[in-house]
Amino acid sequence: MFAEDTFMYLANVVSPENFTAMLLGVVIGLVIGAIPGLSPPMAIALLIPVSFNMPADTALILLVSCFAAGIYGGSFSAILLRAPGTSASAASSIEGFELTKRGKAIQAIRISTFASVVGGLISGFVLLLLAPPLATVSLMFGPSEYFLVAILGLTAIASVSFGSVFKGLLSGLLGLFLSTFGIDGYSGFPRYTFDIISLESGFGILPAIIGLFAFAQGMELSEGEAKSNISGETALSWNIWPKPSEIFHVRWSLIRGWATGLVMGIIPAAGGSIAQWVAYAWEIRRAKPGDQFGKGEIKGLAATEGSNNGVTGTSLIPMFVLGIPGGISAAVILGALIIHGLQPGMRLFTKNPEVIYTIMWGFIVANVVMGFIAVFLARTMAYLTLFPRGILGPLIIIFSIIGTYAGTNNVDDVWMMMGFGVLGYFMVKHNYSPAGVLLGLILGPIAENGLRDTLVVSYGSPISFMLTRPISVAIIVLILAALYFSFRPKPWEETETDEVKEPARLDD
Amino acid sequence: MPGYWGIRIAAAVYIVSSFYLGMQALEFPAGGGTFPLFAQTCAVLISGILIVGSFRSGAREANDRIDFRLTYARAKPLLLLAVSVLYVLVIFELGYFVSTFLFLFLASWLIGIRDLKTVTITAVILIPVMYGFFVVFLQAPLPKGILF
Repeated sequence: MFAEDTFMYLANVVSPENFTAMLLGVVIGLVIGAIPGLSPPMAIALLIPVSFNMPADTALILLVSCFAAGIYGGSFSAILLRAPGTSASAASSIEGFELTKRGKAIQAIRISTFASVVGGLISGFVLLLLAPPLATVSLMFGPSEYFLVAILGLTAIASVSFGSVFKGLLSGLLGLFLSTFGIDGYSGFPRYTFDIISLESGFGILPAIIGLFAFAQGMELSEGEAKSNISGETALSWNIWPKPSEIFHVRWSLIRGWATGLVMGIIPAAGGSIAQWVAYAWEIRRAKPGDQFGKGEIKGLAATEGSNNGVTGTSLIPMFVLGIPGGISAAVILGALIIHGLQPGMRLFTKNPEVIYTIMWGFIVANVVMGFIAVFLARTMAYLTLFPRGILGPLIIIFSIIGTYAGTNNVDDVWMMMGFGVLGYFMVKHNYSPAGVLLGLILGPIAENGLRDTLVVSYGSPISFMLTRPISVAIIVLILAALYFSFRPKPWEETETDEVKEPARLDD
Repeated sequence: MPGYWGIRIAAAVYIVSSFYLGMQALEFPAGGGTFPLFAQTCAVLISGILIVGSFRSGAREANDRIDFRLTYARAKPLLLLAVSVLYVLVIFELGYFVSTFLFLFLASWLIGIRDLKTVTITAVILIPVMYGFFVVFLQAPLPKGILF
């Protein structure tokens, strides 16, 4: 009976209204996600007024399609320009951009598309079939677990730092510290504002993402020969469909990435941000001699891309079942849900099954549609890699400045973004991790709230409190394991030769 | 200057600033200094480890050096940064179109592009497209200036 009801609503998705809404959501999500300065939550928020006069299921299909596509869209600019459109794609920029520099941009896009589409599909089916039971897992996470998950994310970053683990940790700690700037949410007291009004709201994530990656990349591009392009190629391959041989080569990386995304997505707030780094760190631990992590390893990209879309469906579970949004995008979708007269919770599944299951099927089908549209859009965007550096660098700077201003309408954020840009530029030069700073900024509020709440509930004995909670103990073990493996030499560091070998399986 | 000296200086600066900012954190009420102190304490420990590690024989023998010579190639990112600062300062006076047009030409020229035709075509196509996307589609206003 359950299976019959569930599959019955699939037919609703292909009605003209629902399918049109899905297409619109996917296209807008892809385009906006790809532009540094704009983000999926912004795209979803823009579509809410458009959705007012639509039936609830059509409106929500529009928004969840935009969400799924926006997460993937951020990967385009991450891979092609090392300027991720969303924080969820920051890890993909590491291996993806190195592949672009080696003239393998189209191969990177192929694998990224496959990993993201299938990851989103699997995540969608988990959402469809397992939402209510998995939601109870979200409830098991208390303040100590949130604090430890944030620390796990930072140790994952450190373990994938190619300069030095300690430099990676220091970068993350800098991000954590910077996240404390501004008005303290508990006491209302201004911390480290130095009487500067614009610092009272702290450092925004948007200026940090754009500055640390896009603006810094614009500065870095200006260093090279002005007339040369990023990839050194003069033409693009037309081979935009994934090859079975390429997929077979990265099959285990894909599976690890998808699994990481599915599991981490259930953790509200923190899961989406750290899933990609946990997947990447896991992939590096599984590296073999001859792998080229840090220089364009397709397995690294497959894992990060698999995880960041593997997160999308499961991150909606706490929102639909418990009313706890898993991130900003989910929070905006939750708002839309309520606007359309739907209350999240188990009653949504019993009183409005035709609506909720249609939405979930819409999410699943949207991932397939996204794959087809994305491939052609990516091919168009890949032409950017043929632009001379002397023009591309200033263009990225323009996009960074205009995108930041358009996103926040505040020139102080533009200055902040440029400050992060200078920081990011010099950090890369000296083997520190700009991604660590970004993740620290994102996870800082989660970690701080978790720590302070833990101190309260544990009456000042946080360590003994954490050791009484099985999930906390499990996360502590993961943190220690991440640190242990991060200090071991990476398999490719044990190779005797420094030659970069081109795997035959990735030839055009 | 050898690379390990750069690590020592950066770590030392981080430690000193952490102590200074940590002193401020002690004044924050209602436990507001707990997390900053936690982050800074960990950072001081890590910085100390980096300094100690820079004295290891392997670090001292490493070939990386910090070169302070300012060549044209090294100056280009700083020139681009300076022009970007100027761009943000004038965009509210001259407006989006004029200032962006000027920025693209000046920045490209400073970096080494001398092909004005390519820059012009890029500017003529992309600047209006960006305007249309942000202002018309997203309804996000961009600065207007003395012309438009």
